Amino acid sequence: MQFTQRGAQAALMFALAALLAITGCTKVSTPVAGAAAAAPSTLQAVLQRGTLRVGDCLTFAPFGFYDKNGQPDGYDVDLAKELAKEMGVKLEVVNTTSANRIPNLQTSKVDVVFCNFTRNLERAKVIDFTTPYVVASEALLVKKSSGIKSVKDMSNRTIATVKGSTNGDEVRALNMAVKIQEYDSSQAAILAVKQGQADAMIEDNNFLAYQATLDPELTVTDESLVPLEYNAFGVKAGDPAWLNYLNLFLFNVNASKLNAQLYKKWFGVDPRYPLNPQF
Amino acid sequence: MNYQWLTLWGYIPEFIKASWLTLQVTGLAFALAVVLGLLAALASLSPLAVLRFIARGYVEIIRNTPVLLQIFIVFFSLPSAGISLDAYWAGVIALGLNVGAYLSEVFRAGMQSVPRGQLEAAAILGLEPAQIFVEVVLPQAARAVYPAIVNYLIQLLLGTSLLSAIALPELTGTATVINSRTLLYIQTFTVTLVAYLVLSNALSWLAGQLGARVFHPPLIVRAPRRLGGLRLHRANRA
Repeated sequence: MQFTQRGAQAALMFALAALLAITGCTKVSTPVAGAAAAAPSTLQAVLQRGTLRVGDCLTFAPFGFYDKNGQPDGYDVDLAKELAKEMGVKLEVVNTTSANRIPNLQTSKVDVVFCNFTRNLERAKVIDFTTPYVVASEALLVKKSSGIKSVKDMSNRTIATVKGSTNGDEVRALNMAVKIQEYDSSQAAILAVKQGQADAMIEDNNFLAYQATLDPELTVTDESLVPLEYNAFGVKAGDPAWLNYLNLFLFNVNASKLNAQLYKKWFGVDPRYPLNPQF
Repeated sequence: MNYQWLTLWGYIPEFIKASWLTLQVTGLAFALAVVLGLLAALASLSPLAVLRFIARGYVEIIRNTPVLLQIFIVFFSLPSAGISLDAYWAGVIALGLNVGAYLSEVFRAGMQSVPRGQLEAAAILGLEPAQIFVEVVLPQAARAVYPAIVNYLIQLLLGTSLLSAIALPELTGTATVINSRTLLYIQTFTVTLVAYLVLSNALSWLAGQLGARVFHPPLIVRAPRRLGGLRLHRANRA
């Protein structure tokens, strides 16, 4: 018994020491360190490996979802296929959530994250963003029967968002008396609205417009709750060669109008807001 | 320390609030689980076939399906049947139902561990069936199963982390949200890990104190303190 107790304590001490060691390491290897520039670029790594690993949010139709055969499909997935084709490598789509997008990049589990990634300066401290590929604002998904026309009708009601997205903070910034529920995926948040657990869900208007076409009970408020968001791809910080390559890819698909065609294919309309810079 | 840890210092009130919510849900769900477990254990030992059947059905359905699915059903599916529970009560009920099924098997085993001879002796001494249960079976059964029950309490505490999936801002859910705001993954998860360690060890310690005071002779579920400092003993390791 005595031995077991000593063993347990030793194990605890070891665990704490390991934890401190891990935190110690991260401090040294923060992305701002100039040493990162000497590391080989992800671009070379992908070409050598012969496989491009793209993080896509596959619970975020039509950006990403699993089709009837269980294969990844959607707007982001089509763009990923195009990128892999241009690079001449195989595509591996890695299902990602809003909350684990950045950890996946930092730990090199994926080479690039698509996922309708909203750029902000907080995120840009730890990862790098490409130029934008899709423009969005935020609106509310509500039940038609709720009578909610805009966010002004939301006081003392419940609003569902997704953990790890920017939307929770945007709702808090409205300074309204609303209750916020933060779910793990967009599907769970939509389900909460359908089942009456939440009165509205705040999300990207492109995404919500598509969801509302799937269920006649649902509708999207006609408003723009935040300044336009120019959403981009995210990559690990400190890899200019890879970032340049992706920016050129985006320039080309925008200039050739392929991006606009894919948008129309998945959302059924022309892009609501123009990209900026324009092509 | 460095600025990253200092940033997280500002979130300590949120961690405390989340820990308190975690404890509340754990306590309420456990109370429900004990009641359900006792009822199901009694029903499974009942001479009435219909009661045995209901208890069996409850235990088998709960123990053979994933707890996350049970949580989703209580939160997302019951509204279709007109029962709309918020995340707090849906969590309490789903986890209470789940742990209750496991506890009922523990209680049943405890009750059956009392030798039959004692029951016969008590009956011959003229005790009523209810008296036999309360004064002969229950004290001995409770003593036998106490360490196992405490173990389920700790598991329940850790299991509340699943409620983050229905947007309850308990400890794990709050940690994920703070993560996405601060992007300090290692720091946030370290604080969360320490919070769970403090909560589970505090519960084990309280349960040990309770065991030593309620039972006669005292039930010592922990090894005596020898080295001092932190102890990580699970309550059931006598």
